[in-house]
Amino acid sequence: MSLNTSLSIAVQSLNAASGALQATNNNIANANTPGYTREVPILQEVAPTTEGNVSLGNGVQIEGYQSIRDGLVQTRIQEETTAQSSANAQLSSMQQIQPTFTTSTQDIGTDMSALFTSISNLSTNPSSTSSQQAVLTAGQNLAAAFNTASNTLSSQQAGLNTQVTQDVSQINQLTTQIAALNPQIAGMTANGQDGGTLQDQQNELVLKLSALTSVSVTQGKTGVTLSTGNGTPLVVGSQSYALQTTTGTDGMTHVLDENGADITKTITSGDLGGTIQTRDTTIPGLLTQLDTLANQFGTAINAAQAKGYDQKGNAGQNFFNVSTTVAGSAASISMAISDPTLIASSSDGTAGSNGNLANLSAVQTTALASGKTPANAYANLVYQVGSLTSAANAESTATTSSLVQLNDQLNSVSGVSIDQESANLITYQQAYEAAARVVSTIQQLFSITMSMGTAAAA
Amino acid sequence: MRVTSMLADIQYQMQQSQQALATATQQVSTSLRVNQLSDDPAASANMVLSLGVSANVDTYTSNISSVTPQMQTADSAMASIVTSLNTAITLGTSGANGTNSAANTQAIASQVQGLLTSIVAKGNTSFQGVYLFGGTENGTPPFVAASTTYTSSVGTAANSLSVGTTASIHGNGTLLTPGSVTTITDAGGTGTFTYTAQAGDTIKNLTDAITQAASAGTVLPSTVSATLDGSGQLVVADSANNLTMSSNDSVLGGMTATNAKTATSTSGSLVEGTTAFVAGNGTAMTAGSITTIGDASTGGTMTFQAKAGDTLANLNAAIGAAVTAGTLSAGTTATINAAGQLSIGTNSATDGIAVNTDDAALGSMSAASSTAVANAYAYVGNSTVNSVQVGESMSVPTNLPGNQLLISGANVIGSLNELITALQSGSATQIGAATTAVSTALNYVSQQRVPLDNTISQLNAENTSLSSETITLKTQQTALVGITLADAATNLSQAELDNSAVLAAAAKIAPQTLLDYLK
Repeated sequence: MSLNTSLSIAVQSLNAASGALQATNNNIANANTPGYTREVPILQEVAPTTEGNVSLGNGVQIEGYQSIRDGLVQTRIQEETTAQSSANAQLSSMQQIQPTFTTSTQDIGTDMSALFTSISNLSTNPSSTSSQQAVLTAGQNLAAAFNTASNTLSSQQAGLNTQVTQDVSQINQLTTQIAALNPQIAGMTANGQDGGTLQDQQNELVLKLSALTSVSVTQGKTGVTLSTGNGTPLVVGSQSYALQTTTGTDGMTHVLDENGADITKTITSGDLGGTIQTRDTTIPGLLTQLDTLANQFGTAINAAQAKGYDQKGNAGQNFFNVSTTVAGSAASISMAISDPTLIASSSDGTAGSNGNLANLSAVQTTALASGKTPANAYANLVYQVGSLTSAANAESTATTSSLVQLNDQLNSVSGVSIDQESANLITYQQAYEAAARVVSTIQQLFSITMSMGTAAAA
Repeated sequence: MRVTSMLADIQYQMQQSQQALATATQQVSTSLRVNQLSDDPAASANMVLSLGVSANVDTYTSNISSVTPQMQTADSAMASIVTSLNTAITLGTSGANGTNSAANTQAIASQVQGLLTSIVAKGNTSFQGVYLFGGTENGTPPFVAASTTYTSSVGTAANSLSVGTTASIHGNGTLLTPGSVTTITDAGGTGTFTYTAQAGDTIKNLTDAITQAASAGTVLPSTVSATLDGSGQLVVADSANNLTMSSNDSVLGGMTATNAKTATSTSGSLVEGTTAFVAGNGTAMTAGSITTIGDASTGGTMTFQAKAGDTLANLNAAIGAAVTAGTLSAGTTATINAAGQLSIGTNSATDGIAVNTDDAALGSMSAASSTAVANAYAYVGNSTVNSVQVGESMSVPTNLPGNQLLISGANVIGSLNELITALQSGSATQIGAATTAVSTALNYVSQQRVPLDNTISQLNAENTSLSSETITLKTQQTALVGITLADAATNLSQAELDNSAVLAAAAKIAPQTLLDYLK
């Protein structure tokens, strides 16, 4: 119950207030730092002392600083980020593929129609050179349209292939950095402290990693343990496990784990997963449909040519050069004839007969080997491309919107409110002023006590 | 919920309203609701199909406008023919009234000849280089004045028999007597080998047949061979077994057994010098070429299309078959004349033919001078009809073969010919009968016009229907992917309003914090 005790309590208050001010200062400074979780000073009442029947408090002390986190929301944000990146990777590719299949000018559908139009026009005057030339030109345009569509898909695939290598190298960089932080954070949490700023940094890195691939995160004594969605370890304690890339037998870049096992098919989300999905499943699917259409269409036209005679009375030759295998048909399809008189319009060998043009025209309305007419097969392809793009777009929009909400939630727990910190500034400032006032009061009391029984006191 | 900063939300909302604004702007400038496939995949797919139908409708419309003038030209030619026939009937009627002098009927005959010429000219009407009444053989005039003989301009058929050229001369070309029978019985084979010579068979056919039987190995064993020896005798021998051979073909002169295993023909000059028929006309014809022979008397037309490996012998065979079938007059043959030219002709001064060919090996065929047959015309087109599609399930025939118009049916040309002959003869009865025949022909031609006129009206009707279908399709396409300007403009104003509101709200809220108020 002495003045000294009061003084030390007051000094402790000053410390507590200035410590709290420091936390507030830090919060304000980091208000816009990504991943920063606000710190709250932990003010604890010091254990009271008992003198006889009287229990006296012993002031306040700062136990430490608490970062206000919400692990569950954090995890949700990671998951949603993974989904968003995957959707964005697919969307970006599909948006580049989509324009090749427009329904306006110079796409495969328009060029197929133009070919049939030119064939029908030729039927009104089969020996007209200009009409014959128009058929050849239309065939040339169609072949070129197939080539272009195929090239667009292939070059997308090549671009995605490069992306895989880049993503893997980024993943490796991040896992190295994450693993480096683990021992330091583990040390702090072992002492019962929160990981503080280091934990914030590590969380940011894990979030960046989630954008690349889905990670499952477990907190443990040695820090955070990360593995990919299917269990391949990435970070354990201070150890990071690098992924490797190699070119597979299909010419594509494959992802291997540290032991060399091929884990490409197991990566299904994140930018890497979306890229792999588009490269290995979506685009090959579209290419197969395109190749099948080119192959079956070209073959059907050639078969119709063979049924008739050209202007010189000889049996019709191939109109298109079509690859024998379906794969690569769209890329390689080209005109096999350049002489207008080789169009097999005749059904009786005379130059004036248009009888075989009906067979060529019939390709438009006859089902190909796939069971669809050429127009239906193409319309189907257009629908596929459109709906893949639209689905990726919807997923991207949904995940973005979801992330906005989740971030709002996280911010409501961990975010710095300038207004609140400003109010805190006032609070702690007042607390400091009050404590300082106590100190000066005690000092005055000291002076009075010291001068007790002296003339000055009177 | 504790709200820390509204900036993130504000940014998100600004992004959203900017996106909506961009979309609305694009819709206004393109008048399309669907600007990329992802905007509406199902509509885009349906557009592909609808555009395909539109393209077809446009094509049908264009076909109709190509074909209609062609048909109208054909129709007016037929109208002209009807007019000429009417005049012919009038002339014939006046010629048959028994009051004319010989000079008069001759004069009338000349007039009718003139009508015949102009009718044939109408039959040769062309439209943009295409002869309308030639069937699909329509690159040259289908009705040609008939002559008894036609010769090719190219005269190398004989030269092709000399060394180094590409004629296929069958060796052992001696012709066998058609119907003759040659038999071989061989101890090493089963049964009897019999060969009956067909018309046109040569020694080579016989030796080929023997060699084939030997390699088959059943009727004759494989040890049998047939050759011509140095003296030109046919020798058939079996190296292992006994055989006997006999023939009643005088060309071989019968077969004698040289020994138990060999038979030799009695005649010994089967190769060169004697009646060797070079299965000749061995000149190769150009594969794919077409040679047409029209016969003015029968009214028929024979078309021969050469395949790879065909020679003039094949053409000759086709002519023979046509004669048998009655398409060409009896006695029509193709031969090589002294100058090496292919000569096709009848053996009757009144049977006229016309020949047309596109085979470069023959050059062009033209009538031999002074072989024309008066008032006779042969048809060198064909009977094939082209049809053109002018609607989803509507095709129209676009030509009428000239032989159908002027030869078969009531034989316009033939009946006019009869009338001319009758007028020249002066017999009133004959003239009367001929005139009646011409009358029948006129009715026939008028009837032929009917389907053509019907088709022309059908085309007009179809044209109208296609115009309205075009409109329907355009409406459908706009409904699929388009947006009216009114809707698009409304959307745009709304989007602009929304955007302004978001920006204004952001401007108001964003900068304010407690610090502004703490002094």
